[in-house]
Amino acid sequence: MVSGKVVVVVLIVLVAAVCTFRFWPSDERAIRKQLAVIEESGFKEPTEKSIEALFKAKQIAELFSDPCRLTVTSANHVGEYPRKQIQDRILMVRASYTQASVALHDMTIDISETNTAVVRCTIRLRGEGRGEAIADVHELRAEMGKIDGKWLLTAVEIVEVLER
Amino acid sequence: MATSRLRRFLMPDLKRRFVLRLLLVILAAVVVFTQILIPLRIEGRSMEPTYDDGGFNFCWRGRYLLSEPERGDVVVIRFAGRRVTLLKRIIGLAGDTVEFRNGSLFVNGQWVKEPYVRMPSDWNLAARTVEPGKVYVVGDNRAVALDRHHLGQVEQKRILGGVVW
Repeated sequence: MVSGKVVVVVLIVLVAAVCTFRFWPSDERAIRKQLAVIEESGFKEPTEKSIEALFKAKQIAELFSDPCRLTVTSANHVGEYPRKQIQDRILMVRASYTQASVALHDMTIDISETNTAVVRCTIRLRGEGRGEAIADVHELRAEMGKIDGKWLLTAVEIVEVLER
Repeated sequence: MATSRLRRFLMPDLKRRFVLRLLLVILAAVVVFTQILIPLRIEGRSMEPTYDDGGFNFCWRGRYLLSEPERGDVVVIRFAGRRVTLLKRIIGLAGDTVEFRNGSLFVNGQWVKEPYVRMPSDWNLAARTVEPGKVYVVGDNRAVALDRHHLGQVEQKRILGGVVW
């Protein structure tokens, strides 16, 4: 009888510990939540309206600091870009797809004591544009900073895994 | 007799030894299929006709433990992690000069016969030398436009392993 009670208590403590670990607010969780916006707002249905597209592009652009350093060597985009320009670019890229989905995989987050973080992940884009299926994968290295209580992307680099 | 055996197999008594054996099997399966033989679901057409879209394979992590990658090997290349990988064929090793002329591959100035390439190609890529510690990889489907095909030199340490078949 006593051992049964002990098992129940141990189980309750374990569940409480797991819940605390899982749901306790932390910087890592805040960063993951921020970056989840890329997946949510990157998603596009064929029936998407222009106003919705603009709203989603704005939501993604708001993840970037103003300005933000971008390094996309293959597309010759290297330098500091204002948020508005980033938003326009996102809008343009999304418009080239009739439908699209974005997924972030294998994310690692290193947070330093100075309210900065380095994020590495694989970004995968799948969609359809001009009647044909498009799939693209890149490795992403991003620096983030906690600005006014919000984690924003201060530098984003597409890592050249394959160099032509 | 056979029925009772089948019944015991499907619904065994949860004895201590059985639970221990079950846990060991689960542990072994987790270790094997996350560290040694990683399941791959092939998406995309860049390795056709050798590997078709929707196909299945395993990445054998031990492939290059005792040997170095060679030209012609099909390798699995990782990005930030192992969840999303690329399946490509090595066409050049460090120090090699790689070039495409009207779809034909030239390594160190010599034409290379590629029996695995079945689709016509018009690729033209100027000669480039593979840097130390890297290999040059490309897909077997050369019918895809060059600017839309993932190819290039990649760090050897990004090779996760080879494919099983």
